[in-house]
Amino acid sequence: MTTQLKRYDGRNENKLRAIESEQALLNKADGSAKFSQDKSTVLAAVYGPIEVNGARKEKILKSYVEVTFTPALGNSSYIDKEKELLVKNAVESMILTTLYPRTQISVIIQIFSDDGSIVSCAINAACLALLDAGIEMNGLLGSVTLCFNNDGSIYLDPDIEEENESKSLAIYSFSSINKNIVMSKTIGSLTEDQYFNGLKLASQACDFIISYIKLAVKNRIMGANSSNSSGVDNK
Amino acid sequence: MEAFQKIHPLEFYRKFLVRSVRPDGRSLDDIRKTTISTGSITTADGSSFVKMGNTSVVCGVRAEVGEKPSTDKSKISSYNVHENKNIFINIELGPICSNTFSSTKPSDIAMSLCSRLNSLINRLEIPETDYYFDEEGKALWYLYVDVYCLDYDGNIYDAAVLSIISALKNVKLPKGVIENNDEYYKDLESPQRKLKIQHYLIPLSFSVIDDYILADPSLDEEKLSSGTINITYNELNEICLLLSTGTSLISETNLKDCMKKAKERSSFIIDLINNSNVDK
Repeated sequence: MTTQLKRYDGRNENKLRAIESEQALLNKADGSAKFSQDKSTVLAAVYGPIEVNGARKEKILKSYVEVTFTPALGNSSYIDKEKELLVKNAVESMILTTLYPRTQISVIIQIFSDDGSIVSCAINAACLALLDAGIEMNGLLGSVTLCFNNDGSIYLDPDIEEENESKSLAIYSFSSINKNIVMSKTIGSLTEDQYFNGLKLASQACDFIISYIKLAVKNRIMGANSSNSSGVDNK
Repeated sequence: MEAFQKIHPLEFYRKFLVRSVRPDGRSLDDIRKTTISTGSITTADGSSFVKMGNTSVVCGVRAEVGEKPSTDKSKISSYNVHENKNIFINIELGPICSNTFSSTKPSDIAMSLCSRLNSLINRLEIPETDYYFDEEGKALWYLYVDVYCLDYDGNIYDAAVLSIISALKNVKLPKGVIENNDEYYKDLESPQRKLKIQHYLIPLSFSVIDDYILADPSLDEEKLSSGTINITYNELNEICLLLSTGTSLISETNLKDCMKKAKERSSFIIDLINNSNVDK
């Protein structure tokens, strides 16, 4: 690990931003969670299992998972639609959909503020909200974004400026059950070596996020303190 | 036999997959016959027609002149250095290509495909001077790329990428003159120029059914699949886009296999694009 500080906010290359979360802040929803990675804040709400609206969507053997991604400003654009699908894919692979046949599980993602790594933040928030709603899952879900710079360095959990200045971006999502990839997307060109280096880093970071989520849930159930600040240091 | 396929499509496929073949006679990593032809639409500034098996897409490029945008980068916080916004891609998956699409509102597939393609193409690193309308670049050409799917038989992403890259390589832009500041004329006598696109894009998609990974999936296979992997390389063997989604988890070794198969296709695709763009 390098000790040289290159990033604007004084972080190390492979250090996550401070994580903060809060659960069950919505009354009507079956489960809800707010997840923030410094200035990127996302609120996720889960309704389900509920009746499917629209008969065509109903699945006989599985539940239908719907994700709505609402940006902080303006109407949702094509780019948000793509983010929505990424979150949906990640979330759907973790929910035990066969336990809730002919029902619908809705996940609503509302962005509060976008300061980079927003897809990852949304996936983490969705995982926490699903736990809060008591939906049965295969395992826990963690996601992290990496950016690859022109000088070859890899930044973990970039903010929006770092994202824009980087050569390429990669979003990874891992589960707590094994080391397989739940979801992965790259934007911009990078070599295979870079991709697999990133994979390794991301897998470690996801383990950290998953252990944070575990701690958050534990604290909520045990009633230690309802809100969590990331006092734990990354590595 | 047919009834079995209709009632238990997944079981039907499994019977084939255990013997490493697919119902259409391909092996698991066989790719359907791919053809590209360019320049078939004479009224467009560039065009192409791509067929992968039964999947067929047509792509047309329309060039329009516009003023140079004010480039005060400091004011726009979300300004991205990579994305020169001179190319706008739209993909149309209308009711003509499949009964699953409606004519009124674009489907989720089309929308996410569109944003994926836009971010892919806008990172091709085409120099800004290539878009200059006149000598000094007071005005710029903007390229509107429209992709229409005519027959939707799976793997639309690969077909769309191939059609866009070959259509862009086919674009010919006339030189222009600006008089009295706001009168734009095309200089039709001087030779037309092409965009300098050094890169090639080599796409290959896979579907995951159970533990089998199928290259270049057909529509039936896509419907049954529990996961999709899109890989796009450029000619330097760099990953330009990699997307793995779906409900089945993908291991690193499987991903490496897919990458290998995608790279093996690179020289074939480069030849295909080059041969389709020979000046007639």
